Amino acid sequence: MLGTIVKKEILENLYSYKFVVITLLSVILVFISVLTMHSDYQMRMEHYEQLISYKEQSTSLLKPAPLSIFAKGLDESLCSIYKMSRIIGGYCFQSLQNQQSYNVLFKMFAAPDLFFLVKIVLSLCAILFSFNLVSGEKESGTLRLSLASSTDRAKLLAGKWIGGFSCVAFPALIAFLFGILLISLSADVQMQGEEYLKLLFLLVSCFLYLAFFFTLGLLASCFYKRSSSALIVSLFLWIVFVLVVPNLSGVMARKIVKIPSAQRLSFIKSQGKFEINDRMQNESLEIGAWGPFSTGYVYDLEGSDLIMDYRSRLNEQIECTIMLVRLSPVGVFTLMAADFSNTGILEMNKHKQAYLNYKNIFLEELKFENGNVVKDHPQFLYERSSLKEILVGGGLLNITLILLQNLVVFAGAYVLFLRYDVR
Amino acid sequence: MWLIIEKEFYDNLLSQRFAVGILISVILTVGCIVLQTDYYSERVKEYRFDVDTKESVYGSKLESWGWYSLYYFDPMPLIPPGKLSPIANGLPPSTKSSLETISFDRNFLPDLFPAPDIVFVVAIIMSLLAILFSYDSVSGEREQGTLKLIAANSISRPKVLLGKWIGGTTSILIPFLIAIFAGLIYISVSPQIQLGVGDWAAIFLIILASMTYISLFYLLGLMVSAFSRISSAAVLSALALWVLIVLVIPGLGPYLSSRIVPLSSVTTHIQWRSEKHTEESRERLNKIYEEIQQKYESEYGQMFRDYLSMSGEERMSRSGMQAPESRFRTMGLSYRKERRDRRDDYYKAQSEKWEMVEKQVEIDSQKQFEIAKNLASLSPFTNYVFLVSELAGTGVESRDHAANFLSAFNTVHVEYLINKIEKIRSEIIPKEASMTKEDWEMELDISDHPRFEYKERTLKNRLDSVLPYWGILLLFNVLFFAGAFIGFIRYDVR
Repeated sequence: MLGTIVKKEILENLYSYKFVVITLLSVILVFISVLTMHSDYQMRMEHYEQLISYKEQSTSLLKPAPLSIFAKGLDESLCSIYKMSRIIGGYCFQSLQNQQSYNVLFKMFAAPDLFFLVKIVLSLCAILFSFNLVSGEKESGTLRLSLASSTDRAKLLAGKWIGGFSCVAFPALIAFLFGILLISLSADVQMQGEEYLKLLFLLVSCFLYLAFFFTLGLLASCFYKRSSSALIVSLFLWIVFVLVVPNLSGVMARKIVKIPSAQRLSFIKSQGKFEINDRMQNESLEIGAWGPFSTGYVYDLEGSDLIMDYRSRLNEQIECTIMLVRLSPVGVFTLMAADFSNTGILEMNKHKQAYLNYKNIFLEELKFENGNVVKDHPQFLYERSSLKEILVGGGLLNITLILLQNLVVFAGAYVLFLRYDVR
Repeated sequence: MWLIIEKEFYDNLLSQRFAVGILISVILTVGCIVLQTDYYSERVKEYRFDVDTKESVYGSKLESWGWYSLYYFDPMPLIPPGKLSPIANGLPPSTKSSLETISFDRNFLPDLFPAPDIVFVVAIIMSLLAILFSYDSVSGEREQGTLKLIAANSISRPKVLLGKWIGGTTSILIPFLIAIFAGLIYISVSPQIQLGVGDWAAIFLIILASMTYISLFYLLGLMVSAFSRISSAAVLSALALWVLIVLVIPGLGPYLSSRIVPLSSVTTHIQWRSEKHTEESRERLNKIYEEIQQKYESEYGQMFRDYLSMSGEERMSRSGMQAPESRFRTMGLSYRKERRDRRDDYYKAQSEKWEMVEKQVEIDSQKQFEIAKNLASLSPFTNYVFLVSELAGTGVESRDHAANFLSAFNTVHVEYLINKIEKIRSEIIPKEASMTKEDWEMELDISDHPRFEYKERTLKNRLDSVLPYWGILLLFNVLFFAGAFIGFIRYDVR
């Protein structure tokens, strides 16, 4: 019986105008997105290759992540160039702007990657497929006929869900596979086995996300008698979930954990330099020698109390945002998509921590003679997170969360459907 | 026609979606303004505190270190947060130097989760609402059967369309305006914000621009409705167009432009600042020194070789300014002078090349930016965003204005430093001996250093740069109305 219901749903959708339009739209958009992001990836790789021979021991120059084609996330910041720079009496971090930081429009508008497509366009499509699943049938009178037979409501709902969602998931899957094929065929993107596994997890998160919105539309459909009301309410819910909640979480976190602004941070770092100079001057007066480095001691300009305090507070704000953002499946999806592509908050934190650790080792191993460095600096090496690290660092939690959110909405739809007046 | 306007207006007002939509837009608008204003108040407090501390910090420190510290006297000019930034966040102000020092510790959360401001609410949410209100304006009425009744009347179709537009747009705008006014009241009672006449005028213009934008999307929905027979097809097409305008075209702009004008000069810029480049540069300079050495060796022979083997003090005592006249002295003086001169020339040539590299980066990025902006202007969404952020003083051109202001101040400041250092050195150089501790610790008076005072762009200035965007928005309004007109004239009302 379940099979029959599923088949009926699928066939009904297959012949509708809706299905054709949405399939076409997904394929075209995925094509445009993959082309654009691939071109972007190529440019960033070129940039990387031109700079690799100029890399110094202390330089952090990351290769762009191949999966950033699908979810760009924070890859721009991750691939920024950092190095240890010697100034006054010590060392500090110096960062160099990369190509995209010059064009301010990159910051103003979101990257048209797959993640963006799924987050906004495909979730809308999912709703458009499910809003009239129940209320539409009630309006056309076929719902009471289906229930007049011996099926129970649970089976009917499940069948509708499976049939309807396949009509959303299948074209999406085709479009994704098409995009992935394009990428694997191109010679300049090197993806190894583990990258494909991460891609698999990325796809799974996309489908879990779409399932949520599909079920949300179904929920609205089970609540309203008229399809148009169901549509309006689902769209409003979509607006709240996709456009409002994730952004508000960031704002809330900002209120809960306050950190100084960028300008203030710059000011703090300058003050740090002043403090170092004070100490240097006092020490030199005692020794009787003068000039930077004559004391043989090197100051850690990145290690002042003010800066360390700022860093720990920034981490707190990040943790707070992550917690708040997880309330909405859109937030969970954003975190997951970026983390599985090695372009997320997990990767940023790992990289920053790695560089801070490197700085300590760097300063420890420094040896001076007459103000000149005599020993070679250690090399800064960094590898992006492995799949295991991602799963342990929040990936599994995120997957569980979005599954739970799906279950909650489905339970809601089920309860509403049980009480639904089918006449 | 007045009747039609009234009818449309009340039709919308009493519908369920109106209630839900209004609730959302009012909550969001007021919520955004409140949150953003709080954030702004904090930043203003921070700014004022920093300005006050700066003077005292610099004054006391420099006096205690001595004149050499002038070499790294960084006046750290501070820019106050834009007064209208609660309305349009735009871009954070940043100078090149601050970007470098803090890039590592930059707060990257807004990249993933941008904070919503009014621009966000209007540009994305209100536009979606406008479409959701108008997509069944024509097709829905046809389905209900009321359209043929209206057409059976003596009123002309254009008038009906006009009535639909005015009535519908007004029904969306009124709650929006109420929400904005509530928000503005909150802004005006906040203690940290003092808005002048120019600021209120800018706010008024922003509200007008938002009205133009919302009306544009209502017309878009109307147009789609006038071309579809079924409402559900209309809503699909309208949403597809919305996605294209608000999400796809703006996103594509920068990426296409970076293909058209790739910034290869940035790579050169970075290569120049690497150690490898410094080493190569040092080698070239060493070659020059070797040349000079060989020249003097061939001219002076053994005397020069003796000179080289002497210690620094010996050299100065025999060939310094105070030493007695001799051929040795002439050689020493001219050798050191030639080294200095050639070195200065070399550095001057290098810095000229470096300036060219920097200039090239600026030219290229400006070109790329212009192309990206023009490509993105195909969408009314980007036009609106640019329009409002410029009016609010937080857009790209305002940022450039701030950057120019800062670099102008920088030039003045550098001149001041050079003059001051020259004056001090001129009192020391005649000795040409190595500096003593007392020289390093000379007393310093820097109370005459140039102070940084930031002046925002005038409203007229901002308005001038913004008119083309507004023009494009009005053009889209006309375009969509024309489209709706054509569709409606041919519409089969049965």
